[in-house]
Amino acid sequence: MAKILVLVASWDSRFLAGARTTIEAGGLTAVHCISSLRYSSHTQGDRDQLDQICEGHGVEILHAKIDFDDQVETLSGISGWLELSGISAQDDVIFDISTCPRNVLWLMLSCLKAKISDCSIRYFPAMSYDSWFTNDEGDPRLIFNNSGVMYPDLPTCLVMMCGPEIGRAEKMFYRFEPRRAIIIRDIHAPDYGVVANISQPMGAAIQEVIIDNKDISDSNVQRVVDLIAPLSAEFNVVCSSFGPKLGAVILYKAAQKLDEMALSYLPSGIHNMVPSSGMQPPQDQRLTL
Amino acid sequence: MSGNPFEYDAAPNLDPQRLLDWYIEDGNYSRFMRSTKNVIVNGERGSGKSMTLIYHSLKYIWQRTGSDAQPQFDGHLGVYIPCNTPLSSKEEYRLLDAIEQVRVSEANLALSIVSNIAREFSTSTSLLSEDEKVDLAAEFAFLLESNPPTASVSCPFLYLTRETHKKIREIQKNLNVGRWDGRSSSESFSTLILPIIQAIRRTAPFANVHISLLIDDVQDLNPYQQRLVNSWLGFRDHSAFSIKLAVVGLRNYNFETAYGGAILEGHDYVAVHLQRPIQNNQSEFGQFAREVVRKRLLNVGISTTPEEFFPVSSHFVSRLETAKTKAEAEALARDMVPGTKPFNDFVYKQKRAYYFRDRHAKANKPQYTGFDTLNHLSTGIIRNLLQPCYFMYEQQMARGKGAKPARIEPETQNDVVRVESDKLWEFISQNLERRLTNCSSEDGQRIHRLFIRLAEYFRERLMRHASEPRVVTFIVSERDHPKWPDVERLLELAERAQVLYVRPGTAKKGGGREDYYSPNRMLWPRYGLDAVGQHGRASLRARDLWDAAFNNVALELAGEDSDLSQGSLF
Repeated sequence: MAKILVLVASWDSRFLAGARTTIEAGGLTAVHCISSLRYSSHTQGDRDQLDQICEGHGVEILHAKIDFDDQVETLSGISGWLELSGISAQDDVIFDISTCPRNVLWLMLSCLKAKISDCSIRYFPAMSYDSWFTNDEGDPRLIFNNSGVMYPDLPTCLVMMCGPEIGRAEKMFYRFEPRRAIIIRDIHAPDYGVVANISQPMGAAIQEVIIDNKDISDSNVQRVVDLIAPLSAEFNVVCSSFGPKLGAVILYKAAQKLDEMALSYLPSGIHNMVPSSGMQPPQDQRLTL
Repeated sequence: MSGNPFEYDAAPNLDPQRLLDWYIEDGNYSRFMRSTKNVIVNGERGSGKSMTLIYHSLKYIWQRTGSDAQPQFDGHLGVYIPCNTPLSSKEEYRLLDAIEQVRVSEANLALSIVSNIAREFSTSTSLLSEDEKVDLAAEFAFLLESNPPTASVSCPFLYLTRETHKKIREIQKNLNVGRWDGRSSSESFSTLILPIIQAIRRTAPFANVHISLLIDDVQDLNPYQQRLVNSWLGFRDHSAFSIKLAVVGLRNYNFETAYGGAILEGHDYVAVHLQRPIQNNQSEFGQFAREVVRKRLLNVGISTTPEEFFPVSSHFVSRLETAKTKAEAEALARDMVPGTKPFNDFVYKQKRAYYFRDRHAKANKPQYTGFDTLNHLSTGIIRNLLQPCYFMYEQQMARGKGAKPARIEPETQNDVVRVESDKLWEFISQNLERRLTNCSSEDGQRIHRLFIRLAEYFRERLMRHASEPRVVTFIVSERDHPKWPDVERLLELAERAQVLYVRPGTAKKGGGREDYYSPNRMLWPRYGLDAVGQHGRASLRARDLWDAAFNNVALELAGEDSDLSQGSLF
């Protein structure tokens, strides 16, 4: 049985610092580092350092460069990596999602499901975050394998886990023109994604709900499921995560129970190269795929 | 909704009776919408496209007739089919090979249309005999290859909805797990939509009724689906059905068909343009806007005319008269003979310019009052007219301590216009990248700089230009300059944000067509410009626009082409 760390390369300092922490804790057989083709040069330095750390600890390392911009290419790349990875049902996989884009996170979880039944989700919160993360967002996309069932004659309800960047939520409103919207705010940060700051074109009925967006336990996920389930009969339900990455895992788990809801992602054109500083101890939770 | 007569909302969200109360039967467009011709309705968001389609749908024909009476189809009814749904955002078809991409796209589109046919006709079941209900249900079961209903069918259209939803769900669930067998899918226009339309037309209530498929926001369909719809426009037999499409931005629409050809205006479809370029009170838009406002006022028991409800400031009238006197004096000084066309043209063009120019340094800013001015400020988009009217009504009511206003005082009109102008500038300066996809914060800043320079240019022109001082529309010259693509991209973003409107017009040089760019006229009050504007276009070079946007360089009057593009007086 191998113990494998899977993570996504990033300019965010938590990529290398988190990998170092996990490797130095011992027990790893291999590290699988997925990186973006577009930002390859931005992550080259830290990936080289990761190679050295792995070599120093006798850990095998496998790199996979994937196009994160085109969803067909992303899915193809992840599938290809998984075929070559050698990961099997007996392996203990730690998936460090700290610096993983949400579309890649969702696609990877969908693909890993074919190989393993569960994995460890590791998340390193930062000590502090900059005021912006992304800019120049593109059109929202529904995620492959998790795009739900959409009916042509039903109105739309958006369910969004909102972070501080209201702009992304606004773009969802302008694209989908929902009849109704539910904003899930962070229980730990009451002013996170304040609904009053969202302008929207057609006056959708907006409901604010406070749920812990970092707790991927079954009981917390069930709260989200209970919130969304009654909507499916009347609405096309489209969900997005704009807050912490663990919120994306919560929505993924909810989507496994409610296969008619869609996961949606807003691709970014420009990224803040220093989005955070420092790193807190990891939060580890077990995820059944 | 409140008692404000100028409420505005997307047509699909409106209560049916509210939509009927607000809709204006435009003689020209209704004639096309009720015809057997294919029509493409073009207009920006807020121009009334959806309302135009929805009004002609079966549900609203019922609503107009009243529940106790037989609806009067007059040989025609419509089925409203919105495309701005999350179904249009699903991309699993891209995982298939090319042939299957087309097949699954057509299957999804055909089922979407059938689903909406079922929805539209579900309220008409009472018109059918029991035999007709049974026959229709059997036909639907055959076409969808589904199990026929075992019990007596109370509504064959509810059965159609249920079975269609089953098919939609099955296709999507299969695609979501990578299972798609095109051999088991036969849903297409010819195997599903056409036979269903024919089956409906075989029933007594709908015998020989022409059915229009009213497809809204076609630009949201995937490329295969757009080409399929274009192909359907080429269908020659219009006896049973026709297609009416609503598109945002027909200029950029892809007219290709699924078979490699292209649809042609006049031959395959008639184009109807809802955004009108001219907004004076004799224009189509002016008359349309007048009817919209008049009807809305009547709905709340106000019977005054729009001009009386939104009166012009007497101060403005007086100052304009003074400016006219000055213009006449100037014309005489130029040896123009009073009463002649050159004299009248000169006074007409210059009097407003003199009003806006000849303001004492300590005078208040120009006043923006009167229904005609509000029309011009809308830039030909009806929602842009309703929005400030809404706030004017609210403010006037507040000033009257909640009483229904008999009119909107000029002071209120002017105050609201100034606030709306400031809000629009604030939107450009701070919120473009939040609202628009594929717009970076740098793009937003460049657009902001460009529009400031445009405003300053038009203001300079107002102050100094001899013959066309009040032009507020421009064309772009020297498009072969290497910087033009950067400028074009910014202009496209501005158009998507609806701070800029673009329409094709006649090119002065050598004939042909070129794009006329009209910034949203609600921008101009902040700069004291004349929102009424003037026929004609300023010619601005691509490189100068680039410099304005990227380097914050002013647009010089001397920098434009010497051959100023001039429009006719009316």
